[in-house]
Amino acid sequence: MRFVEAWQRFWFRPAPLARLAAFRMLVMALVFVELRAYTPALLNGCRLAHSGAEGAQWNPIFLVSTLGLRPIAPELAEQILLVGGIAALCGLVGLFSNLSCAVAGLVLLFEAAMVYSFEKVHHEKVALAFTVLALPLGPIGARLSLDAWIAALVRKWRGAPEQGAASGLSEFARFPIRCTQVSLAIGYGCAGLSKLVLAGPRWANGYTLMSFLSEFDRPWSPWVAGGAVRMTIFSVFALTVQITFPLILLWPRLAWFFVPAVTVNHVVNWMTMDTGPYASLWILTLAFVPFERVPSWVRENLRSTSWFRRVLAVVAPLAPTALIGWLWFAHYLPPWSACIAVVLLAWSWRALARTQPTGIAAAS
Amino acid sequence: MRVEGGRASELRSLPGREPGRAHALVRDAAGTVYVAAQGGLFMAADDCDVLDRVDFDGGTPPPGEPVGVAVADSERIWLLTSSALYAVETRQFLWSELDVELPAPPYSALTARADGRIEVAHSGGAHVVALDALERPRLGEVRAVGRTPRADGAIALGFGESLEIAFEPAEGVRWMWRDATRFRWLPLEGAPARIEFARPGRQSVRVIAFDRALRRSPPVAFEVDVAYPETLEAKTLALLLGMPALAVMGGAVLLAWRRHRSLRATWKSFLGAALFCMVALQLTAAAIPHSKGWPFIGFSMYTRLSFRDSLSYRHEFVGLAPSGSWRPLAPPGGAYGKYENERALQPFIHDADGRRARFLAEWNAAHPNARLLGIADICRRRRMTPDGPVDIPRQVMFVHPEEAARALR
Repeated sequence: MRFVEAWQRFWFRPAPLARLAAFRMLVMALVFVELRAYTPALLNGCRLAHSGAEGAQWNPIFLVSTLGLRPIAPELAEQILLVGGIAALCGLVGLFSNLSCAVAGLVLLFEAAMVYSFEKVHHEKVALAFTVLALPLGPIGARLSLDAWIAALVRKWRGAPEQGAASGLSEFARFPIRCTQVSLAIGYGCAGLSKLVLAGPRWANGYTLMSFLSEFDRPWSPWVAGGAVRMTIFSVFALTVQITFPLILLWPRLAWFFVPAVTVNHVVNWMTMDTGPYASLWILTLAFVPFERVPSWVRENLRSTSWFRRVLAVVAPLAPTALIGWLWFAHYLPPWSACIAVVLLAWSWRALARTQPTGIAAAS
Repeated sequence: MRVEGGRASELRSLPGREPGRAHALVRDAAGTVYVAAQGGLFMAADDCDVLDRVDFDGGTPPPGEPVGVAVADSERIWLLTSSALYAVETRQFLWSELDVELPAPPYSALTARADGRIEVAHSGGAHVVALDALERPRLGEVRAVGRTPRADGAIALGFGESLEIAFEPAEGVRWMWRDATRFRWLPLEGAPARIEFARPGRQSVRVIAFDRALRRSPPVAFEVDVAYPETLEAKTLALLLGMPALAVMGGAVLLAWRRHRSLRATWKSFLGAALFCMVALQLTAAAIPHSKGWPFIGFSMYTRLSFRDSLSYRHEFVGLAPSGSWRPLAPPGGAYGKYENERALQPFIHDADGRRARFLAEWNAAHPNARLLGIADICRRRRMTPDGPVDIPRQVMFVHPEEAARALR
C-alpha cells in the first residue's frame, strides 16, 4: 500500500497548470517541426512503395503489422500530415487543446511508425511518443490557451466569479510532464547500461567512440576525434551521463547538470557523427525545467549583486532558446515564422510571470 | 615517395604498420596502387598521403612475404608471395591460393604480360601461367531445404528458425552468403548450410560461389519473412501483457471507486495504473535486443567495439558529368541519405540484374540536361590511431562503365 501511495504521489502531486500549459506549447511546437521534418521521408517511402520501384523497402514494425497498416498513397499521406500540422498549431495556441493535441500526437505516431517501417527504427522519438499519448489526458488547456481565454470571456459574459489563485494548481498537471521525464530517464539509463552490458567497459577505450565519430565529415569531426585520450574522456563522460541520468528523478536540481550535458552530447554527435539534431529528444529535457518559475528566477538573479548570477540569468534561458530557434528556423521552418514564435514566447513569458501562484515552491 | 607531374611527395605509413622494403607495385584502372612489400600488401591512392597495409578478410594474410602484384580485373589482383600465388578480391579482401602448377618456391617477382598471362620468377628462371584459362565457378543447384516459398515469393520462418541451404559441393569452390542490406560475404559451411536470422521481418539473402581465382558466380536470391518471436504474437501479448495490464487497471479502478465513490479519484487511480503498465513495458522492452516494438524499444545501438587500427567506412555514390567531374548522387531507396547508402548501394556493388546500367539509362532519360557518363561508389575509409582517425586510401567499390574508372585517377 505504501508503494501505491508513493507511486500516486510521484505522478499526482499538485503542480502548476501554467507549467503544464507551457510544456504543451513546447511539445506541440516540437510535433509541428517533427511532422515537417519527416514529411519527405514519409512521402518518398509511400511513393516508392506505390510505384513498386526498386529500392522500396517495407518492413513493418510490430505496431504497424499488428494494426494491419500498409503503405498509403502519397496523396493521402499529404492530407494526413496537413491535418496533423493544423492540429499541432491548434494545440500550440490552445484551441480545443485536448482534442488537437490528441490528433497531432496520433498523426506524429503514425508518421514515425510508417517511416520506421520504410527505413529503420530510430530512438529519437520514443520519449515524444509517450509524451503525446499522455498529454491529452491532462488539463493542458487550463492556462496559456485560447480555450482558457474563451472560457474566461464566457464566465465574464455570464457574470460568474473569476477563478482564484488556488486553482493555479492541479493534481493532474504533473503526470504528462512526469511521463516525459520517466521515458527520458529510462531511455538514457538503458542506453548507457546496454553499452556496459553488451560491449563492456572497453566501450570507453576511446577508439570505439572515435570510430562512430569519424564516419562522416562534419564541422567538429577533426577537433572531437583528435585522439584516443580525448575520446576516452568523452566516452567516460557520455557513459556517466547516460547511466546516472535517472538520478534526476530523485534530485530534480541535477537538471542543472543533466539538461546541458545531454544537450551538449547530442549537439556534439550531430556535429561529428551527423546523426541529425535528435532535437525531439534533447528538447524534451526541458520537461525538467519548472517553467512558471523562470520569469521570477530571472528577475531575482538580474537584481543580484553577483555578476555570475546576473550572467546566468541571461545565459540560462537565452542559450536553449537561441539553439532551438536557430535549429528550427534555419532548417525546418520559414525564417519569417520566427516572428510568430517571438510573439508566442513573449505572450507565454508574460502570462507565466503573471500567473505564478503562491505556494508553488511548497507544492513542487 | 610519390612523384606526380614532376613533384615528389612522401607517403607515410602508420605506426606498427610499416611496409619495410617494397618489392613491386601496380596501379589499377581507377588509380588505386597496390604495393607488395616486406610488411604485407599495401594500398595507396592519389588523394591520400598514407600507404596503408591491407587487412585481409578473416584477419590472416596469405602466408609468405609479398614479392609481386598484378591487376587481374576491376575486382581482383594477383598477389605473389615468396611461397605461393594468390588471388585477392579487392573489395572485401578475400584471398585464395590459386590452383596452378608452379615450380618450387621461393618466388621473387610477378610480371603481367601483354597477352594476359602472368610470369612468375623463381630461382630457376621464369614460369608463365595462363590464369584466364581457369574454369569459371558453377553455382549448381541451390535450394532452401524443406521450405516452399509463399505466393509472394518469401520463405516463411519462425523466429529462431534457420534457413537451410543445400548446394552441390564442388572442388575449389567457396560458398558464401550475405544479408542483402550488407556488403560483406560470409562463409556458408555445413551440409546443409544454415543461415540464422537475428531479427524478425522480411529479409533478402544472396548466396554465391567463388572459385579459387575468386571469380564469382551470379547470386541466388532468397526472400525470407521471419516471424516475430512467439512472445510477441498478438495472442501471447494479450495473455502475458494485456491481461495483467487490464487486471491492474481494472483493479485500481474498482478499488478507487469502492473507497472514494468519486469519478476524480477513480480517474486518478486508473491513470496511475496505466502509467505503471507503461513504465513496466518500457523497462521490459529495454531488455529485448531488437527495436521492432517501437515505441517500446531496446537500446543496443552503438555497442559495436572498435580498437586501435579499426576502420570506419563511408560510401559515396557519385556520377561522372561530361565535364569530367564527379557529382554526389542519392541512391534510390535511401531516404535517410548517407545512413542508408551502404544498404541502398548493395544492388549496385554486386550489380544485381545489371542495376548499374539500368540506373544510368534511367537517370539520363530523366535528366537530359544533367546527363552522366558513369557512376561509382567510392568508399572513404579512416583508420583509428592514438592520434585520431587517419584518412587512408579509398576503395572503389565499383565504376560503371569500366572506362569511367580513368576519371577517378
